[in-house]
Amino acid sequence: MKINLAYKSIGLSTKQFCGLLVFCLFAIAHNFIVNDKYLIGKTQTGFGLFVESEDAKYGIKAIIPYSANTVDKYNRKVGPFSKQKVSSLYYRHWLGTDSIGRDVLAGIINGSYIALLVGLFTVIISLILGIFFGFLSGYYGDTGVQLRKPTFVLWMILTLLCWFYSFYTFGFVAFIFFILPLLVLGFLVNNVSGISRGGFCFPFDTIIFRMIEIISSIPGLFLILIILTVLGKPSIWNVIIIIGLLRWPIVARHLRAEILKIKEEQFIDSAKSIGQTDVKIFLYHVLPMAASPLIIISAFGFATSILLESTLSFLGIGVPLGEVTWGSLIKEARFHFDAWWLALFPGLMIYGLIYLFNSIGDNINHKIRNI
Amino acid sequence: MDLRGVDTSIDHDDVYEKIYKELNLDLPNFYFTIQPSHFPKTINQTFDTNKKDLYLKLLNSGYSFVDIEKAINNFSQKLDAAKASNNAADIIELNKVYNLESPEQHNGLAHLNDSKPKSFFWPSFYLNGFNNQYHKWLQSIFTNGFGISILDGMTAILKVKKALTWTLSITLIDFFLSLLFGIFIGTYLATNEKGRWQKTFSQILYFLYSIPVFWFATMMVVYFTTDDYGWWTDWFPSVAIDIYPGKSTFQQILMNAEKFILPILILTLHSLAYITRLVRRSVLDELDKPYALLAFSKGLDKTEVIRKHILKNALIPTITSMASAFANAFAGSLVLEVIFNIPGMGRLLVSSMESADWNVVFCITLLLSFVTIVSFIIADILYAYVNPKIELNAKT
Repeated sequence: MKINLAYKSIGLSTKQFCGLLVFCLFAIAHNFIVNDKYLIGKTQTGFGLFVESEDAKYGIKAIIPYSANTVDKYNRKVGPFSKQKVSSLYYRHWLGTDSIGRDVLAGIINGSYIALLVGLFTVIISLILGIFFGFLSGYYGDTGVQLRKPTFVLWMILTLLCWFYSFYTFGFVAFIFFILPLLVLGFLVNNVSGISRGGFCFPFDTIIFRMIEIISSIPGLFLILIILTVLGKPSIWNVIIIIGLLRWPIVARHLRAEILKIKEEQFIDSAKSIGQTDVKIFLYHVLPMAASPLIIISAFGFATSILLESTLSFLGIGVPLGEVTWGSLIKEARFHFDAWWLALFPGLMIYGLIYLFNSIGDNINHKIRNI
Repeated sequence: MDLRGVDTSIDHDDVYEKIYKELNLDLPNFYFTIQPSHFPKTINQTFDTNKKDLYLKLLNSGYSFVDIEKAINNFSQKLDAAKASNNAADIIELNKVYNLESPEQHNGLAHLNDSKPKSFFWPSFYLNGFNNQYHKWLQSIFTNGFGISILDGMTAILKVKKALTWTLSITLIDFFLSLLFGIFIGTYLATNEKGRWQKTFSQILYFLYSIPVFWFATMMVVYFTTDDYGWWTDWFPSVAIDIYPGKSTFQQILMNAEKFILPILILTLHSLAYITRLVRRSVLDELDKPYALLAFSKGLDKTEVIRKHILKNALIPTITSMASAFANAFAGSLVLEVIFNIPGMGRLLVSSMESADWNVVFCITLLLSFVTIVSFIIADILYAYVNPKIELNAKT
């Protein structure tokens, strides 16, 4: 029986695929690998999931019996090879502890979860925004969409009103109010374009390209630092959203360049001539052809986002203090020169992951160039 | 002394209000304001941050300003009465209002219960004239050197200028060193595909390319600046910059020259990896082109072809990347400054952000975007200079 290895068709080697799998496994199952509670414990009332040690009579414990935040006050700043005050080999700190007695291995595995969260969601946010804006600026350009002036004025008023309300409401409602004008614009564009009535040309290309230039005119790390401090409240989701918002210009720029090439092809004209709408042409004919550079950018973007996040938590900005990440573990090493394990192991994880994603990006790039 | 151990003989509110007005925080934010119609124009004049947050929370819930003012005045009277009688339980209970998500449910604001909150806001628009915070800040750029740092009273531009000298001395040395070695090694790697050091070099470069700067720096500092791991690991001086009072910044940099070795080494190795990869790629691309073959078939030797024909063309794509490499060097030096305690821009930015010293932060941001834009312009001009196909004043 021949097994179809899908990952090989996009250029990943078996080693890379296994590395990716192990990383994802650790990240997703971090709560079951690293925990100071009983995974399944017998209490007085019956069996339960994640039972506190004091409440349970007996049960199944995780492989590493420490959470990332568990403080072992008898073993502060002990190395992997030094003598530890533990009751059995099972409770040993295999990679040592930090200055207040938190297990480094537990911190590393918790950090892999945060790294996956950051990498994945920044890539998703940057792809959604980048594809949307890249499509508008590449496919329509400066003259592709003609709106009649009254329509345009009405849309502007709607936009201002909606964004006003989105500023004074919270949560999901605010999001809906923010996104509504864009949806309406998409609807207008999809139905009105192609009819040249000598109306008002909506200069998508100019507007979006200026936006891209403004965002890329300030070095990313500085911009993120400033925005995070203005927001004030440290949270991992703020970091994710801001990194995602800063990375969409790269996607948009590459997609725009691809679209400009593909737009001249004949099959686009034929699709238009049978009355296919622009959005459908883009989704079914343009996007699949432009997908390969986007995949490469995403692979590199994953690495860059993780690097940015760990730099931020190394500086102690943006990520809440209680959250243990790879960067915050290395931060500890700066103040404890004798604790070599604090600097080495978390850094190896960051380096390994960045190396993994960079090499994946290179491999895909290589594969596509050779086709 | 009151219950919290605060000296009550000074009226803190008065001092606070004075500074609040000195920083122009009581003025409206911008030339115009768009806000819901029941919001008051003068919301910024409430200088007590707790009270201002309370106002905004209640206004956002839709209560009219008159009702809120009544309720809060009543609440303040209660709080003052509790403070006067040193009733700790009451003070604690009343202070809880500030931390609530929906403060109208608290007993202290019971007066609000009679009034009905609006569920729908209409926007209102009005002009504020030139007497606003943004205009004052713009003025301060030209008259007052980006305003005054709230930490030490120096003008922001003076602080940034001092820090910039430190940062520039690192970044410029790093930039030229990495450019020099990068072009050299990149060309070597591209032209000696089967050379002895080819594989080792590319692997080391890939390693340096992937390694995070802050981790690399931390490792070097932890392992190679002390003799904790054996007498032979004490390679570099420890990471503190000596400040000599009374000397100019430039003299101080020279006096601390040996402390710069490690940060410059790390930064150079990092950007070297990037530039070498770039140069290698473009030299390889150029070698494939027919004119290179022609040059070889004329009988020119390898070094001459590379020097006279290939390198000129290969550097064109490199120059465009130089601009972003320079901006990246600034970002890279931020982390190194924090690790090595160098009083440069990065550390100034981080420390002034932690203390909400916005004048300095804005000054640095503006300067950085200026540096980036200027480096992009220089790259464009150089691009046209080395590539005669491009004209600067081309008509489109």
